[in-house]
Amino acid sequence: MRINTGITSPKETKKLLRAGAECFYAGILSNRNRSAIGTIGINRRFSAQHNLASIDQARQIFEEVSAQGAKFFITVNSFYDNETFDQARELVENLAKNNIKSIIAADLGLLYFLNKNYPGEFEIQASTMSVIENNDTVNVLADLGVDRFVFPRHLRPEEMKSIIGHHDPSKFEVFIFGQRCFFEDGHCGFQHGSGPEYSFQLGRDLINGFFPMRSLLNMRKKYAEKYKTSPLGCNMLSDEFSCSPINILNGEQGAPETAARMKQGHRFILSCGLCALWDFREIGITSLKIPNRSEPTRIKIHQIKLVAEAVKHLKNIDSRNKYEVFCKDLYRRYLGESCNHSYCYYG
Amino acid sequence: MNMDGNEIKIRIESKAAVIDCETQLSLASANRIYFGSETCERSIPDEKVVCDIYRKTREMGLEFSLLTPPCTDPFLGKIKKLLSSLREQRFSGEIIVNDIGVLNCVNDFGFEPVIGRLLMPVFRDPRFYEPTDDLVHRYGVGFNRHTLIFFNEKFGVTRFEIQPTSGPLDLSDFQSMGFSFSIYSPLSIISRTRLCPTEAYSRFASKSTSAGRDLYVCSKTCRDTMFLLNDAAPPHKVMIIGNAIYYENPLNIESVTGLTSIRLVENGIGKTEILKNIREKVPL
Repeated sequence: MRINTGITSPKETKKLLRAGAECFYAGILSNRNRSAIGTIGINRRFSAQHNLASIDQARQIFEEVSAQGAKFFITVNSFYDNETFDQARELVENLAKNNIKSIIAADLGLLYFLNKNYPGEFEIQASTMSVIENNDTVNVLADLGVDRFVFPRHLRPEEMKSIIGHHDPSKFEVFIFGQRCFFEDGHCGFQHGSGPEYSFQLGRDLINGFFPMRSLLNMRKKYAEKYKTSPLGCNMLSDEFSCSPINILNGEQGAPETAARMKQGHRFILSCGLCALWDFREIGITSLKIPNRSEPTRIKIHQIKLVAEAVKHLKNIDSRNKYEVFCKDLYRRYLGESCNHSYCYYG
Repeated sequence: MNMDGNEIKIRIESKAAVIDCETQLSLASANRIYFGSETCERSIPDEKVVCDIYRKTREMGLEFSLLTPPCTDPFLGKIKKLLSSLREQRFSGEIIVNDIGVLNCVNDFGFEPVIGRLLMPVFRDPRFYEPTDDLVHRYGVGFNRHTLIFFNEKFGVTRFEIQPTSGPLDLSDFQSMGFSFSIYSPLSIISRTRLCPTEAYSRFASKSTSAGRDLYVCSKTCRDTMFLLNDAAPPHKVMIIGNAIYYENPLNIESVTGLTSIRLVENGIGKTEILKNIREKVPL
């Protein structure tokens, strides 16, 4: 199984290769991309720390990983209005000029453009934003020139199996470890970075003079002053808020409860899914993606090593139950916490 | 603006009403009825129910649109069965699709597809509450000319459905393309999840031993219960209906520019009246 990791600097390349990564993905955020960002940015990461600064950096990584037989994809995986579409188009045209022809994309307009203007030239992976939940979606995207597909985080192995059964399994990738939001990426309208949970990130981005984040801070300040409460975050189903059941038929309102009841403890950070590697091997999936673009190098290395160890032991263990026990122990050793269903991607 | 630089007033060309059940047919003041599920595959109505409501809608002289959700393969099978029944009924309405795979099926069956609001991303976060905020003006729609051309060329789509943004909505870039737009009001979808929050609450309330496990199963609690998130994003009311998070975001027609006419899709029949009457703040 191949481990796919995020990379945010050429300085990380050797370290991540050494840790066991065989595929890489990165966003590029130029100064121009920062000024007009559409609904969710050019690649769903606003911060300089989470992106490469130039095509030159991308070429450097591309050459280094290609020499080791590894792959490198550039994320152009947002949804674009007309203005940001032009920026995305310029980016892929620049990539083509630099012979970096592998991207992760979601915008159907961009896929349509690439299919018309660069037919067969790019290796394209459909982003999780494409919400691939059925075989027909895979067929439509394949007609648009998509070669590889990453399953959304909430698809279970048996649901993946029914899709993979119609195609070459090696074209599919699954998320493992790292961040797993409760909500479905491709259908979410929350603007990340404006809730109370992002204070630390906000501070770092302000230091960079990154305009949207500064505006977010202003918005939060005004909001708190006016409503005496912090703005709703993606963590809204938490103890911070209460929810009241309302009978739709008669309008009766029940007693309020903590909104955390609606999430049943599912957590964002520390998500796992390692036990499911057993099922993925059974259905033929060979590529594992760690959503760690926003993590520092040491965390990326830690995550790659953990997943690599879980992959290595697939060969040595003879039953799923034993493998589950092994993965739970691995999780505890690496993270110092016991495994819990609320961390589980695929449980 | 027209060619002379004069402001063009947008007009509502038609009204549609989203209903949850047959009894709401009489409450709808519209010339088109929307029925079905747009966020949850487990709420796809049975063929018989759809065919009955379709027949009654036509008898009342109204047009009909079937709402469909994003689907995994087993539920796409259910959609195909439904489409097959509708073909037998010589169905002449629209099918609103919120999934590319469903769109492909609708196209195969020869029905008229309309692109639903989950496939037409717009910036819709209730936290962006002040239309004067500079950020609101920097975020708008998440689709472009190429997206619309793709849907039109490949699937013959001519109507696209969206929900209001948090600020002004300028669609002038699309005006010359000749497509039609529908706008939903007053409930906008913020987000959707397959880990159903309504089901999770239901397990907790019934003290089920499976609480916290496998939220992919369904006990249909959403048929009679929705949830209000108290103080979550004032001044908006945020609610959970089934597996989706909504907020009250009524369309301000003055904020939409660049089009001459739209279809207004009124949703939340029954629910918005309830929300008006409930208490604003409920302490834990």
